[in-house]
Amino acid sequence: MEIRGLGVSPGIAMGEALLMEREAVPVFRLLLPPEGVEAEVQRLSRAVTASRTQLEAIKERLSREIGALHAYIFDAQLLMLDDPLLLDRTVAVIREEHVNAEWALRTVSDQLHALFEEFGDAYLRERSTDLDDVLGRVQLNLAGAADAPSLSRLPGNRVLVAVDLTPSEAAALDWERVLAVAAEGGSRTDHTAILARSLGIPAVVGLQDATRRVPAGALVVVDGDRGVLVVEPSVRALAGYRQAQERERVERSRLQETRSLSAVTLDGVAVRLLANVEFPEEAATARSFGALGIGLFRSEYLLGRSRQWPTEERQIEIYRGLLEQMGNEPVTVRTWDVGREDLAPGGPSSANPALGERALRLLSRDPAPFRTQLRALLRAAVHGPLRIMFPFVGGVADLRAALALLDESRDELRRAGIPFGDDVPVGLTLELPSAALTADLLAPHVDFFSVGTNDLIQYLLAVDRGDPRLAPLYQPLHPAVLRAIKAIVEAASRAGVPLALCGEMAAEPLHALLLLGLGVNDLSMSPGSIPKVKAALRGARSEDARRATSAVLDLPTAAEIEALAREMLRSALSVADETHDDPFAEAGGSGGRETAD
Amino acid sequence: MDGKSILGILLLAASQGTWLELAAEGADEAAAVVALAALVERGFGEA
Repeated sequence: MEIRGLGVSPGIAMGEALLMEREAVPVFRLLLPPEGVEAEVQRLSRAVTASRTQLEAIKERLSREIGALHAYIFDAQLLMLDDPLLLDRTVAVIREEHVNAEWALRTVSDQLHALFEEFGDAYLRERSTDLDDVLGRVQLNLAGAADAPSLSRLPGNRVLVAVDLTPSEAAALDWERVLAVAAEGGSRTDHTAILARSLGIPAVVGLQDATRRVPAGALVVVDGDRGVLVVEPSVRALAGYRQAQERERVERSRLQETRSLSAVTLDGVAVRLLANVEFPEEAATARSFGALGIGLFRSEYLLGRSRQWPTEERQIEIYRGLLEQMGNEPVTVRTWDVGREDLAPGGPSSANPALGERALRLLSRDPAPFRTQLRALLRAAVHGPLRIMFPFVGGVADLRAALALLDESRDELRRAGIPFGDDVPVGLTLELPSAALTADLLAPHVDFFSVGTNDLIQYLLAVDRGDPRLAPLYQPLHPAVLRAIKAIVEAASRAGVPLALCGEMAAEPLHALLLLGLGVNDLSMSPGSIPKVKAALRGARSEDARRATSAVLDLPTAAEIEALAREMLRSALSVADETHDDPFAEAGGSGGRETAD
Repeated sequence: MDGKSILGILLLAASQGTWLELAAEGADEAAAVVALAALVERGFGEA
């Protein structure tokens, strides 16, 4: 059987399934060895005794403080606790199915719940809340026991099959004991996915009813490349997966080799490759791919699902953590780049959010969140080379407002005697055409520029980058884009302002070589793209890149530019083709695997 | 249904008007049945 989902962390792993159900506390289904059954019955009995003591204490306290009448509720719960329908049957399930007490209790409670559900009488149906309360208490007492399985104390070398993992569970999980993760819920951007990717543990989410469909202890394969969970694969399929796993191992060791290599062209021009990250956990990934720092940290992540501005202290903790993880390499934090519609979903928003009230444009409405962030950044900068970057600057007036607030924040900290980094480099993202055209006017006010190509292309070409129907029109090699970058490079160079580029354009080897040809030597991209770009740079001569760039600059269309550049830079690009975007990519595309459905 | 099991009694789903059949066995079985019937008749003291 094969269950389809969404691969959120690449790679393949196989092993015995460890099921985890969602309860007040996580419930695992464990198969016990025959000799462990009686000990498990004893464990249940201890949890029931503990529950009884607690309930009697509650009842006693209630009768003393409120009166005996209310305490009767707990008489009912005490009766349920010792009810043969609950206790004897749970013991029977442990003995017959050789499962742990938690699972047995859950099985019995499911059966009782099904019976309660059938009641026509709402009053009677509601009595099941008392039962839930009792069951929850026993589960907690089982979990509280020193010998209970928990996320941080799992049997090793299993594939965790769960309904979902909350962020706190993902954090508590002992990942070293988990071969792979398969979950019913989750998404590419939740913490479980990010942690799994960072740690190189295959993960697939969105697997409908996986915990019901996978028998406990079954052999399963998690294929994070194809996004499937294979239950009890055939012998042939398993052999195919083993081979794929071996290929991955080889790829991974190749990646380890490129990590320590520097991105230097054949003629000795060094390029700095940095990472764009969104979650603090990605810093480790960035390092593993050889990033020489974080060129763009999208701080909006900190708002989380609650859309609440984080406190100054919490931000300091996050920024400091990033600096520590990057081991003294620079970390560039982009200040809040959110639209009004992001802050209050369903509230007032512009007809065209990309051109609406967002980022620094929200500053005049309410400077408080910006002030808090700037204070946090200044304070965190005592711990390492932090850089502040303002996005969505449309000209000098915008920049002045932001810098004025930054000055105020510095003064506040100074007056309060709070230590902060006095010499934090401050820059801006060149992403609006208005800023690109006035780079020379902006330059005197900043310490660095970073070209934000994702948005620059969208605004220059008036192409919504989120609209898949317009994808063919989203052209990084459009003459307008190359000319804009060229003009920016020249303005930055005249003013002596260091220039970087952050955007997915940098992640494409051909584009990266043309950017090098234009004079951009500092590229920030998604971490997984670094090895491929590094390979292209190491196989190229900067002189060739420059020649290709000047040859294509006067061509009329993106298609013609791409064709000529590809031709001129063929040899360097063939090197990059042998290096995969992602260390596990090849394993996913391999054939010879069959799966029984 | 075992009368000593609160869950068993609940699972009878005996709302008002339901026919109940009481049975008891033991030394004081007759007295027990009479007492239980009286309890039901009184509406468990809640009426």
